[in-house]
Parts: sequence; C-alpha cells; structure tokens
Amino acid sequence: MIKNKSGFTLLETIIVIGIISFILPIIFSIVFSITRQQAKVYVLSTVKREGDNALSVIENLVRNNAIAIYSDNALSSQVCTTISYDGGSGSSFYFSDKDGNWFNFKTTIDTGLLKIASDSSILTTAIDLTSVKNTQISSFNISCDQTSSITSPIVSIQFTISQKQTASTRIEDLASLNYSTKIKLRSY
Amino acid sequence: MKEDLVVHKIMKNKSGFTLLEVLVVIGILSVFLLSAVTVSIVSIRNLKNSENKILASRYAEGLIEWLRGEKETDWSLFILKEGSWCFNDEPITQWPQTGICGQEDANINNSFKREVVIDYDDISRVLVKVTISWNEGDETITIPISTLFEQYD
Repeated sequence: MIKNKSGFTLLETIIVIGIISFILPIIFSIVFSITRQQAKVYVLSTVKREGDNALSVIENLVRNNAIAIYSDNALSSQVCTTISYDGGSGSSFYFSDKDGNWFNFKTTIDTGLLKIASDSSILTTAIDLTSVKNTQISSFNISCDQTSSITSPIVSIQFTISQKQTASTRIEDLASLNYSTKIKLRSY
Repeated sequence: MKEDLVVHKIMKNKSGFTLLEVLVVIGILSVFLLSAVTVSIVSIRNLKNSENKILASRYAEGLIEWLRGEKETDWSLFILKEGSWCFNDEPITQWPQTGICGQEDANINNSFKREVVIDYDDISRVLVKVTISWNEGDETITIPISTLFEQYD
C-alpha cells in the first residue's frame, strides 16, 4: 500500500515532462525575441544619434563659417569658382573661414573601420564626429556644385552610417542609415 | 492492527491533491502566465514601434534635407514641383514618377510610405508637408512633418 503511493507513476512523469518541454521553449523564445528587439532598437538609436550629430556639426560649421573652398590646406588653389568639384572622401576638400584658417571633414581609418573626423588649422588633433566604438561609415562623399560664377557654391555631403559589424551580425539586423544634405555657402 | 489502520488513514489523507486545490493552483498560475504574456507582447510591440519611429523620422528628415538641397540648387525649378510626390527610393536620387503612393508600390524597406505635398504659401515661400506612414499590426501609423522653405534664407 505504502509502496504504491510513494511516488509518481511513469505516465504522470511523462505527462509533466511533456507539458514542461512544451512551455519552456515558448517562454525562452519570447524572452529571446524581446532581448533581440531591444538590442535592435539600441543599435538603431545609436547609429541615428551618431549620424545626426555628425550631420548637424558639419552643417553648422559649413553654414556659419565657410567662405570658400580649396583643394589644398595651404589655401592656394580655390575650387568651385565656376565649375563643380568632387572632393571624394574629403582629403582634398578644404573650407576657409573669415580669419583665413581652414577646416575640413574627411574619413579616417581607425582600427580598420572608417569614421568621420573634422580637422582645422587651429586644432592640434582632428575631432572625431563618429566613433568606431559603435558605428562605422561605409561611404562618405563631399562635393560642391557651382551653377554660375555669380551664385554661391552649394556643398553636398553624403554619407552612410551603420553599426560596427561583427561576425555575428545578421544581415536582417543591420542598421544602416543614409544622410545627405546640401548647404549653400552664405558668406561666399 | 489499530496502529496500522491509523497509519493507513493518514497516508490516505496525504495521498494526493483534491480537485479544488488543483483548480486553485491552476487558476493562480494562469493569472500569472497570462499577465506575463500580455506584458511581453506589449513590450515587443512598443519596441517594434520605437524602431519604426526612429527609421521613419530619419526618412522624413532625409526627404526634407534633399528637398532643401533642391531648393538651394534652383528655386525657379523647385517652385514648378508644386503638388504631391511619392518618394519611395532610399537614398533619394531624383524626383519620382508617381504623385501619390499606391498600395502596390514597393515602399522603403517594404513598409514605409513617404509622401510629400509641396504647396505655395507666399510668392517667395513654399510649404512642404512630408507624411510617413507604415502599418503596425492592423493599424496604420502616420507621422506628418511640415516645414517652410523660403527663397532667401
């Protein structure tokens, strides 16, 4: 009598294990999808924050300070006076300000990844506008359009920013945002 | 004999749960589980919503920046673009062919619809109304952003 009542039968155990093995994966998949979605939102907001920051810094500096555009930092060969000029990734695209100093924006390589940096003749080291800690730049282009010699040149900036990619980054999780703007030089 | 009977009686009393006890336990557990599932579903929906909002605001800002560039490039061409446009390319390269986004159009990321209405506000001022909309579950979420472009600013 006592022996019979001392535990669960095999059938009871199988049923309980069956129910548990049915519920546990559901719980884990819900927890997993929440975590993944959270990571996605975090990555996307980081990418957008860095992109917004870089764009607004470039926009404000160019709009408020740029006078003319040169292809060298000695400010000897002015470009964009009558025809359009493509500055590529920014290494030969310099703005002059009202005090005769230059500043520019270009991509530099940091630990194998591209970032946007802003340099100037009054700075000793360039300032990073994006950080390779979280993000990377996949394309950056700066150019200027000049329709006629009497109008102000229009500077076009275009870049694509995405999160720092690791081997485990899935393609569908890739957060990549395009930024582009055109700025008319006010004090040309 | 008598002790045996007592032991037997006690064992019988301890031999299992009554139906009522099992029902109460299942009831409590299901209340907990249901609330946990509801919380999870709501949080997933909110996360998806915030992801979409981040993307939508980027797409809206991107279009406004592109239109501002068009305005800076050539005002006289820009004011001829009065009307509504459907910008379903990302990144934007040119003025689109269609005016209003159709249901069957390939949208940005297959989910976002980006429309703009360009309207005169004044002789040297243009009102630009950008609308981003997307479906989330069975509801459509719309974000309208409008801005003013002036000829000289």
